Amino acid sequence: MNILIVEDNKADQVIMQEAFKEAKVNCQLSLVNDGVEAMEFLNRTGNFHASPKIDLILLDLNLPKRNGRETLVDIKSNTKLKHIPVLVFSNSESPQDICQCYTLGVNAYINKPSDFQAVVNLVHIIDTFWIKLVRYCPH
Amino acid sequence: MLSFAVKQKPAQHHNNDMNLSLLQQTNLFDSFPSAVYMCDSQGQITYFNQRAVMLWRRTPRLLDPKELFCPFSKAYTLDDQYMPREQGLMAAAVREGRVAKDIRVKQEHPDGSQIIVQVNISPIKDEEGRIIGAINIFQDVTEQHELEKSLQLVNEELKWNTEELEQLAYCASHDLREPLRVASMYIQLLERKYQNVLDGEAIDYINTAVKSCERAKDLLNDLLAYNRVRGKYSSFAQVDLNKALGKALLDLKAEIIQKKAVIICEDLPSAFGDENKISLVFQNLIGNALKFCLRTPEIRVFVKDHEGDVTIGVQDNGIGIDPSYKSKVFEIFQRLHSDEDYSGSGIGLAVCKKILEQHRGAVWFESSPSKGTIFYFSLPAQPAAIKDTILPVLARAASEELLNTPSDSRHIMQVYNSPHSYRDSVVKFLAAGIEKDEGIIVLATQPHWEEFQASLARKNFDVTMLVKTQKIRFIDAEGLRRDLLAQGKEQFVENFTAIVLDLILETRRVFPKFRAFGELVDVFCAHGEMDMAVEAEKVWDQFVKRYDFALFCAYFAANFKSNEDQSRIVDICQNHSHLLPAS
Repeated sequence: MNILIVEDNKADQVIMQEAFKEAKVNCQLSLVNDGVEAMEFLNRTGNFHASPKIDLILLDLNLPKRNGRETLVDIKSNTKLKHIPVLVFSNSESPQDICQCYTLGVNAYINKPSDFQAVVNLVHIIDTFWIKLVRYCPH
Repeated sequence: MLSFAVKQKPAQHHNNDMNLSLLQQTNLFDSFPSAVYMCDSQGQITYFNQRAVMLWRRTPRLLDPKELFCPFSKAYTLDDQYMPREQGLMAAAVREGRVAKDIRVKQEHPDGSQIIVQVNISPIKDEEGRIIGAINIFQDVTEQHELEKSLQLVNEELKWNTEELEQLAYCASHDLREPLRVASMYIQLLERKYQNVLDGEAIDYINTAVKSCERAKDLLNDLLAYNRVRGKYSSFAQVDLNKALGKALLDLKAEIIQKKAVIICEDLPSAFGDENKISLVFQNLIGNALKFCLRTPEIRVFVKDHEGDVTIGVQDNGIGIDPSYKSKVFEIFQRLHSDEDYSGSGIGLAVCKKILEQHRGAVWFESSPSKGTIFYFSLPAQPAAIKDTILPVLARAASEELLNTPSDSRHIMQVYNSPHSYRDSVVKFLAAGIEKDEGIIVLATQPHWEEFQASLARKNFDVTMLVKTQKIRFIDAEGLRRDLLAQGKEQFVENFTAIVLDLILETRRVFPKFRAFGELVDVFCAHGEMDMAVEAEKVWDQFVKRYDFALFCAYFAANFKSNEDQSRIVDICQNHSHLLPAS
């Protein structure tokens, strides 16, 4: 199971890694810092020739360069990538942001938790649902 | 709404046309301020008045089957949809009995030029209710329409600005949550993972957490500081500076103890201002003195000057300020040191400057590097008397000579201290206008108007003739106030705008240059209706800028009794371009 985390904030990157470690999830995490890197990683271009095939994407909405929404559109309009589930992580609680993401094809919209235990709980849920329960397109 | 019934029996139908065209001969509607035209049930024109001819720019033939529903000018909706005449509003009135009330349409002349007309259309019925024609009463509202459109734009812009501010406030509070969220998570992480051990990674986490917390705190403080700087003049009062200083020292208590600072305070006088804001000035200046210091801080707060304005000094033994930064020190978010040396976002002195500008005071400093700095700030000791210096800051101070010059876009105000002292200025202003062949609008109380008339007569002006020829238009200010209040305070701005606009357009039609003396605002003030006065001046000020005329307003000082009232005269003053010395 390969998960790609698209997150520009180093602090949040560490939090996610720590939470996955603590939740003892059986998966491989890859980290990229922005939307441009994410697309290179998924398309195996630029600096990411040898990147693994990704099963699940965790996408921050607030990103430098190509923002989360644009990246979401890039992924969901690419026939080779659109089957990959994308979970958006955002601080925004605005209905417009939420609706827009679903319209653009996001698989789940999640608000960033504000304490560490909640992040660990969230990772447990991701593990139970997205990793253990959900069936994916075969590679 | 208009409704027309023509006493006519259907059997005499053929006489209708005759009778309607009799209207043409009797000139019934010729003195009517609007254009009027009528048609019969086929759409043939049966009547029109001279105003209609002016708007159409041609004289149509009556009962001409080729000129059904005035085909000689094209009509469009406001969003430029062509409306064929046979499907137009007149046709709808004749065929379906439809009424049109205050509908605006574009009317295009054969030369392609367009005007906006506002139409009121009613079907004309005979005694038995059969439609035998229609009447259209219409006006050229092009100018009004354009003004309304621009007002609408201004309104939208204002709304947009408010929304932008709200958005900004939202973003700021939102951005504050982010570093706090990260910080709190790192601290939790730290607790879980490294309860017993403390290694390099743990120290990293601690640093991240602490920095995030500090950043959030800084942002929060800046935001609060900004909010405190905004505010109203009406919150000003006599402030015991000792009390304001005491408040600041209390807020700085932790730092003072931590730095073992020595603070010596002289007994301070009182000044006129906002206690919380003055306290914030002390807090920022003493806070800086505590911060930018390499040895034990020694801070002295003293009175430098007590004549007129109060000038306070805050002296420290800190690192001093390089004189080359003299102008930069008070700029917002300007910092002279790196975050490692001295933290902070560089807002403190900018806030001080803003606060003192609001108080019509000042802040400056003297410094020698390594020896220390003295910051000075000055505040008015007392509320400035109205005839005093407080006002010219807001409107450009001007001399009475201004009253004589030809009308230009300017909005002049003068405060008068005795009930009759303003009369000379007003008469000077009116006389200059009459001599320059300008139109004159006088919006005054009846007694004042009589005084002006007498004064002008003494200057050999034939006032009766000037009024008769409408060179001078007089409107009773007390009466107008009553009318406006009767129509409700909520609609005040709207109603007043409409009245002033009408007045201006009417005057401008005859006199390309005109000037106005307005006393309505003074009448509002006399009744203690300061809010209305401010609103009215705002309306006037917009028109002065748009229609390029001179407006002179006089304010009786005695109407402004309380501090609150005095603060309102500052608001009023802000809506004028020129201020004459008080009389």
